[in-house]
Amino acid sequence: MSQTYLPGQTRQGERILIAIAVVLTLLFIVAPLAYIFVRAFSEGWRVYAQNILDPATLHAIWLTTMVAIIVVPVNVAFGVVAAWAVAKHRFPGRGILVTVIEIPFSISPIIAGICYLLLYGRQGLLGPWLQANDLQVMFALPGIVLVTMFVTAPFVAREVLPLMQAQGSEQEEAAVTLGASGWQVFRRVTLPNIRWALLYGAVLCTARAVGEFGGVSVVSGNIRGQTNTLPLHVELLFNDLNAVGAFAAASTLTLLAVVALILKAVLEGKRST
Amino acid sequence: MTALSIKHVWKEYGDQIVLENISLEIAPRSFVALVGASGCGKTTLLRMLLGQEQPTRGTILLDGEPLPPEPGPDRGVVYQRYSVFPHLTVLGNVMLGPEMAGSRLWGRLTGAPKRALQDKARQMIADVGLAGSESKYPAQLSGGMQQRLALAQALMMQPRVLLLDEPFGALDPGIRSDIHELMQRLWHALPMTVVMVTHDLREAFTLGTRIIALERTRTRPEEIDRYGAQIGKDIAIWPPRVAGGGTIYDNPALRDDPALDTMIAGRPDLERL
Ligand SMILES: Nc1ncnc2c1ncn2[C@@H]1O[C@H](COP(=O)(O)OP(=O)(O)OP(=O)(O)O)[C@@H](O)[C@H]1O
Ligand SMILES: [Mg+2]
Repeated sequence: MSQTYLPGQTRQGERILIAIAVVLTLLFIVAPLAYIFVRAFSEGWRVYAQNILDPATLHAIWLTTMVAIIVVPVNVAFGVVAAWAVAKHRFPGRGILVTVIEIPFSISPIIAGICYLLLYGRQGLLGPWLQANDLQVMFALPGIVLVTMFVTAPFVAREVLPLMQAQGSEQEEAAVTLGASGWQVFRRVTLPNIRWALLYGAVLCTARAVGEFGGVSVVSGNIRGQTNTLPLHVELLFNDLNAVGAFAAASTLTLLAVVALILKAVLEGKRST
Repeated sequence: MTALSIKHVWKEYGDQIVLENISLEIAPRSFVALVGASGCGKTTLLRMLLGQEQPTRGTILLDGEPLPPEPGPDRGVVYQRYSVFPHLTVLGNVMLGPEMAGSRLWGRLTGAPKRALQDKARQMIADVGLAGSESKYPAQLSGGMQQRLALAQALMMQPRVLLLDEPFGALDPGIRSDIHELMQRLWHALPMTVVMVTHDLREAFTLGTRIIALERTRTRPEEIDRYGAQIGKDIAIWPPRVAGGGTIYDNPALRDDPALDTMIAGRPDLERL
């Protein structure tokens, strides 16, 4: 007899595998996250609130929010335009563009940070010119925004592109025959067709923009209360041996991540219908 | 009353000649059925009438005027698939064209114009037999209902020319005869000239006033790219049908109808009338 799977055996094997998966998930993902909150609240609500309301922490939250508010819309626009150009048009260099869009995913963010430093820093290529014009890019908001933008650039394009490619151009053509202008085709046909993938990409982009550490740590200069984003601030507090403060700041980041996760799950459902 | 005049039209894609010297006078209010082997260029001819493709040589006149080089609301189209928008309801699909025409920037109307349009759209939906399905999405409709919706969508723009590319090709025979009745009713009732591509000769004879067969005379492999399809057969349906009036047998008054004169003008095969 060749191989046959006995139902009982299979079920038992499955059960063991599922149990292993659950245990590993609890051990490596859920437990550490839960521990953040346990530690953050270990000295009570009041201390937690004090830590969050600390001016440096509040500033870090504000700065991170600003970065996300600037970066996400720009990258949503970039992602849609890039995907649209690649999916609906034939032009020389199209294949290269697809690859270039993905570069930030394959490069360590710290390298992006160093590149920007070498370009815009005091000793950098554009440094003298920037200084002559009194423009501060490095160790200031513009540098942080630029690096974050670089790191999170592919998220939207990558979600939207496959969808646009699968849908082809028939619907857009049909809209044109109904008298739609180019902008109307985009607003009434292209955009609604990709909306869930677009939101999904935007959520991923936001989560990453808020959590980005490596690239930002190179270009921010870590000035407390000035250029410290939330992830950098967590590290700073931790190095200060202020564990409870660090965990309190971390808890806000974690909450954001959880919200993003829930949104992502909801959107995933929408996207597949 | 809209006449189409195709004069010495050639269509080439690169080295491949698809259509070779097509000349065709289409009388106002006729219903031309375009048949021919797969790949002989029926869709290509239809797309040129639509304005989505340009002839390589030759001209197409619409009521004596050169055809605009892009699709416009005077020419409606229904494809076998992809004609309706999956993200809009039946009502939304039918209202889309006039909405976009009425509000160039946002493609949305408000207030009284919107209500007037809604009434008109509901009437059109009822006319194609979809009353009661106004708030359904295309995915909730059967294939036949989706094509009825596509017809309603195209007809809302009151096209002078309605172009159909195998619109009923994917439908079951029973449903097809129902929709043929609808198609006939619409052609009689609305002031439009129809050109329909079909693979189904029976359909061509059921609906058409005239059948045009595209044929390639040279089909040896080395000739296939060098010679395009030409008009092989041009058959007038007997007894002649006249838009708005059945045939001369159903309706003897038609013998004096000027529309019949226009239709048979220059057609010696019809002069025996
Ligand atoms: N955009 C294009 N670029 C290059 N070749 C094309 C293009 N569109 C059509 N063709 C070619 O023109 C020829 C005719 O195509 P067309 O779609 O008009 O045929 P058809 O008669 O509608 O066929 P079917 O009955 O299968 O729908 C085909 O050989 C096709 O490969
Ligand atoms: Mg075709």
